[in-house]
Amino acid sequence: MLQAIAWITFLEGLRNKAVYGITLLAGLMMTFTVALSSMIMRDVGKVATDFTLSSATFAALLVVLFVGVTILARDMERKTIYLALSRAVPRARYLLGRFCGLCLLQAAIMLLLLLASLATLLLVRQLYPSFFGTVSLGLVGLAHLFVLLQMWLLTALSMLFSLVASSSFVTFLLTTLTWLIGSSTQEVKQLIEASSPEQIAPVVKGLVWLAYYLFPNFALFDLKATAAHGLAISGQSIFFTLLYGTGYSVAILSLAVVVFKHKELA
Amino acid sequence: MLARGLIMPLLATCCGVALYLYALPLATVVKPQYEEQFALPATVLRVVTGQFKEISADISFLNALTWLGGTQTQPDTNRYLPQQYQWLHQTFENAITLDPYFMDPYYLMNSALIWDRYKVAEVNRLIAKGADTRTWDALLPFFAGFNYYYFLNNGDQSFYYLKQASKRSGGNPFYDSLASRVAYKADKTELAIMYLEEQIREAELKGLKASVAHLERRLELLKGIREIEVAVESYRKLFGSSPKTVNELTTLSLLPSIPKEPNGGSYYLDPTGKVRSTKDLK
Repeated sequence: MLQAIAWITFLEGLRNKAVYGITLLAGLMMTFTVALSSMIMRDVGKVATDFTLSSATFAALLVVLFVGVTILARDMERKTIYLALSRAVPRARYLLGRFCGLCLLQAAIMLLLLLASLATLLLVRQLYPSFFGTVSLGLVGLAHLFVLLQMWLLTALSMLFSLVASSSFVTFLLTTLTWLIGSSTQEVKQLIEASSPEQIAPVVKGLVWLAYYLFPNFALFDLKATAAHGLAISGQSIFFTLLYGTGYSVAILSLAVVVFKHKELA
Repeated sequence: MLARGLIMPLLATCCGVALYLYALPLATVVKPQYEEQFALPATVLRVVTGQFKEISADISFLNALTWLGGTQTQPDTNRYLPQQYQWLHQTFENAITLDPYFMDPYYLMNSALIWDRYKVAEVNRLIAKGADTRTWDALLPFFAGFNYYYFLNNGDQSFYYLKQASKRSGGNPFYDSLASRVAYKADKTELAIMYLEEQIREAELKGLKASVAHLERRLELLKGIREIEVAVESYRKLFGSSPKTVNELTTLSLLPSIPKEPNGGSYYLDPTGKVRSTKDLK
């Protein structure tokens, strides 16, 4: 049953026209990268890697926000959820099926984006072999995997939000805000730690600390600089990030299951 | 009938295209100068750009690059206006704060700001920081080392970064030669000798003795200079002033004989008492 729901969700996502628009946008951005490379002086490979990875991140984020967020929220808004639940599908299984289907959709899109990124980078390397720098194609692959992992985590969060929020728009807002905050809290925390104590009010400091520990640290999944400059990354760090992403997603999903079980569907 | 039906739309299209082409050059938002040269502080940018820091660094750099490509310097001074330099400085600083490993802003900063003598110490500090960050790169330590010596008269820092450049380039004799020259100019001849001896020894171990022939000549030259320097120091202790010629040192037996200058020149003392050669290290 779980597989069937996941597969239906995947197909439903594929039928969504937004997916094609987003993939086309990413493709255009990557084509633009090749044209842009001619304007760069020395670090051509680095700039091309930044653009391809940023395009992939942006596209993956749009998929979560415009496809992932709407699926569960729409189910409840349009009452189509009753159709599944009336067939004695346990709520937990329904939720996990939806989540797995969305993960599968994102994995398929990410694979496509990875292929497009690698093709773009190989073309740039072919055009400017002396200026490709220390870009690591292996790390570009790993960076895509990490983007996928953070989008899975964001999907889990969006599911939780859609269960507690009243509309898909509120879910969209909460998911976007969570991603924005989670991507910047580490920077803000470091900024506050580097400032002198009298410059920052204790309330602000407290709020930043709260946000840092409450929201997932999405910056941890950002490997753009590492891939673009071929910087060293330890196996331990990769393992920790994988563990963090998986652990956080499992925790959020479990919470979502609990909320869903107790939710009264009017 | 059909042709008549097409005339009006065709005419309207032609008029529309002509109007668009006429209006196109005028359809540009002219920004006031203060707005055009506005740049957010780097720390704010790091926070607001989140996971798009690197691409923001690229855009900051491209912004400065296109600005430089399209802006003329002042005809009387051949320089930009002070506020334009300030904006360039801030934009480059933003780019390297967002991505400290990004080479191009450092490269352009070196040519657009340092060579125009804009805040040399401050800008070179950023380049040196870049050299410390990009631990594999030989060009930035060379820039930093060169600027420390040429513009800032800081022999110690210059020697340090040129040594780094040599190390990272796998022992490029050009950097070695420059580093030893800087150490000599900074009155650290012994340091220059030790450094060159080490570099030559490493080249020999790698089987690259032929490529360091000129470094060996420079080493011999520096050893000759050092020998004379020691005698000059003894002279100063004895007489409280500097000798006028190298011959005075041999006459007083402070120097057994004048060392051979390996490049075919001769050693002499400049008015400040510093030992120099007529062929090299003038």
